[in-house]
Amino acid sequence: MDMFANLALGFNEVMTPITLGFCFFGVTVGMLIGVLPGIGSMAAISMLMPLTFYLEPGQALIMLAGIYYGAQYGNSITSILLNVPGTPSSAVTALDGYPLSKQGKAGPAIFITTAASFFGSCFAIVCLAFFSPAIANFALNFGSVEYFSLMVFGLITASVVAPGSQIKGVAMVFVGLALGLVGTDITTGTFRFTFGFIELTDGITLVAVAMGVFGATEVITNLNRPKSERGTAQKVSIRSLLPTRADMRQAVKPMLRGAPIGTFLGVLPGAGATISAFVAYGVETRVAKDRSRFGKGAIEGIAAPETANNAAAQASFIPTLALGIPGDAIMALMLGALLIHGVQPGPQLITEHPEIFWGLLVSFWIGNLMLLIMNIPMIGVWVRILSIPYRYLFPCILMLVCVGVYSVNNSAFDLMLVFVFTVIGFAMSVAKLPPAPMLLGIVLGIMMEDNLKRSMLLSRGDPMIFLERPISAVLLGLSVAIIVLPLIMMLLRRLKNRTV
Amino acid sequence: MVSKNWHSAVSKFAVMMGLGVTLFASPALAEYPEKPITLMLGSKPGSAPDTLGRIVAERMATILGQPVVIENRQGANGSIAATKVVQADADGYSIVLMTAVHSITPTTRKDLEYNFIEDFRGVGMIASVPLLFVVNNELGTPDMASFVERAKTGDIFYSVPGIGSIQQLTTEEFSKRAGIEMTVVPYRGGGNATKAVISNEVQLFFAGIPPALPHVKSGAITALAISTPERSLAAPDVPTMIELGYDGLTADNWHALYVRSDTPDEIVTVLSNALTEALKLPEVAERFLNVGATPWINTPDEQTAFGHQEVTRWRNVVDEAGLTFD
Repeated sequence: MDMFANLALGFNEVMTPITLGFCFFGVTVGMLIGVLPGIGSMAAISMLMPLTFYLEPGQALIMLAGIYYGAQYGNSITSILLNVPGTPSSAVTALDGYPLSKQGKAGPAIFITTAASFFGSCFAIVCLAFFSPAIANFALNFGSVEYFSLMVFGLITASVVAPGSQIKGVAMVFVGLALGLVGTDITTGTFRFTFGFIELTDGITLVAVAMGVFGATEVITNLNRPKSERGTAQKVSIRSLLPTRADMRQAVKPMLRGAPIGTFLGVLPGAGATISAFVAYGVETRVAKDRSRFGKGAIEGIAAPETANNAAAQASFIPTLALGIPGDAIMALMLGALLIHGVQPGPQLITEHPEIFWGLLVSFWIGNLMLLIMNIPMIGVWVRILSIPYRYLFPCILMLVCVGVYSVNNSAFDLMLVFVFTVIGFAMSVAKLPPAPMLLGIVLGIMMEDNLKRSMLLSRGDPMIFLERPISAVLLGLSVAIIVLPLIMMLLRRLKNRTV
Repeated sequence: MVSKNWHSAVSKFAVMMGLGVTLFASPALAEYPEKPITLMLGSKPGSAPDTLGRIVAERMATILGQPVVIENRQGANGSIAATKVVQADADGYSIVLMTAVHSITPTTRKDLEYNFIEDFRGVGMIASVPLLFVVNNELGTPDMASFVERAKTGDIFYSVPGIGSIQQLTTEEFSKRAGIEMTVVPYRGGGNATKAVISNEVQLFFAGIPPALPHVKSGAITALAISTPERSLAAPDVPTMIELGYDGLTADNWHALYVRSDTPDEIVTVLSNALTEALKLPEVAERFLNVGATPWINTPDEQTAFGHQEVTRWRNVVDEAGLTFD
């Protein structure tokens, strides 16, 4: 009963023309920004921040949040159509989304990712409504030791995220881990592998790497092909825009698996959308009967990661609101927007400012509904991008990539990084080395090392701490099982064959 | 032929116009500012300096009649932002928001591309962000005396948002004065370091007021002291270190505006007046209080001198604690 009263309060807050207007404005801006490759929602949110001084705190947050989750909808579109991911978290979607697009199924692919995004968000919103305090407590007790074990688990589950050779995939994870070492050593403050560039002291900018090895590399490989094989200038019919019933059926289970994965990882400050997309994809490849379909246009390969990264985006509000601890810079900005108005996020937020908490929650749902309704008719427009001749399209892609990467740190150095990683990416594509596992390696590498070092400091050098803590022990056990089980299965099968 | 002549005539005209504009514009300093001003920030969007910077910039823009555009150039303890301002012209269109860490890096970093003392002059202080000395309640130490006793007997870990941060140096100074030894556990960013003390992964942290207060209320942590010389309006019950008998043990996480040291006095005065006017606005004071900051008004000369004092102060802390940085 209580929940109904709370939700009624939330609807009461949101269902005013002005608040709905702010919500609509937020999600629309977010979606458009999300579609542009490389341009994240952070630039837009930080620019609109001073405007929120003059809004009600609830409305301010509803608008800023709308930009954030709205961007999660748009960023898979260019992954699917052009193999140019909008953000590192949608790089996974390109693995199967782009092959689908090449098969003339871009429309159904975007439809499914939109539906998956909506489902993932809704799942996380329900968790947010019912279990926020409990989830926040869980997130709080997830310490350095648990983080390290989670990173190990993530690395092992997701290291297969690559079509083709497994060994090449694992090798690229290690290259990524090595690239993740660039930056400042957390325990001594020493700069490592920065080669005298102060721009590298905070590590390699992930977006620059992603745009280099995916976006710009894709442009070059495409231009390198004979004109007839460039795979654009398709004819689009309305019928080809919608997925078949079989496609939808194939997407259901991956969505059901992706949503809890995304919610769980989104709740942990700092883990976030990128890792959850990779893990969700990794899980799909492990449960699939025929693993060889992945990378060639498997519906599961787009449905699961898109569900997961949207669920994660929505779930990342829990630590921000219920603990007052932001997971990343975007969450910190939203926290700031509330603080300026004297609203202090933390354990007392739900009781002290119920109208803000429940209003925001209801606005999430309404905003996601708006995005769903806006996106479905837009599919035809997006797919028509493919009918633009590539000679007009690729300069636009390159320009947007540059603008997007520059907007992350306002740094021209990052543009040089894009160039360097385009050269590397092209070499990789010639050698058939997959870029996605490298991205994962960079993301996980930094967090793994930091948390390992902290855990060892806290245990005064005793590695047993990883087995003494229950959550950590379970995660490590699962990691071992993932490696060992297929081996045992293989041995059993051989034994069986021998006896027969 | 005709078109070529016409072309060169146009370009000559353009050059003359350009020259004219520069010739007429440069002596007219009274008209500063006549284009948007860039405020460089050494930290990420959403960080405390970013929030304070945006509050002040928004008001200063109205007062000066020109946009004040924030540019986040995070990295290397804020030294990238400072370097960018040193490399820009000394015309008052590039200013930098510095914090206490800029007075620490001259000691901890040998490879800075600028000299804080020689290359910069202050425009004025914006605010001080007091730090709360918070300990986890599972330690069972409701006051400073019992905490120090407890720290003498057992292992205490403290979190810091990064090596060479004001939180680390202040904790080291405190340990020295209290005669205790604690182990530093570094995190990336204040949020993670705060989370560590709330969850009892570490027992002590010098936290910002807004993120700490809700958890003090919920009973996870206790604030034993505040780092500033005076109590804060945002946490009036928390005593200062001086009140607790640690004379002179203060740490102000100050935030101030700086420009290149060769910026003309007239321009610095314009900026300083605009800053002072903005800080005196009641809505600015209210927003500052909400984010746990105390407005602080001074003159450019006072700020420059204060910055120099801080460099000496932190150098002494580092030397006395015997800390080494590569």
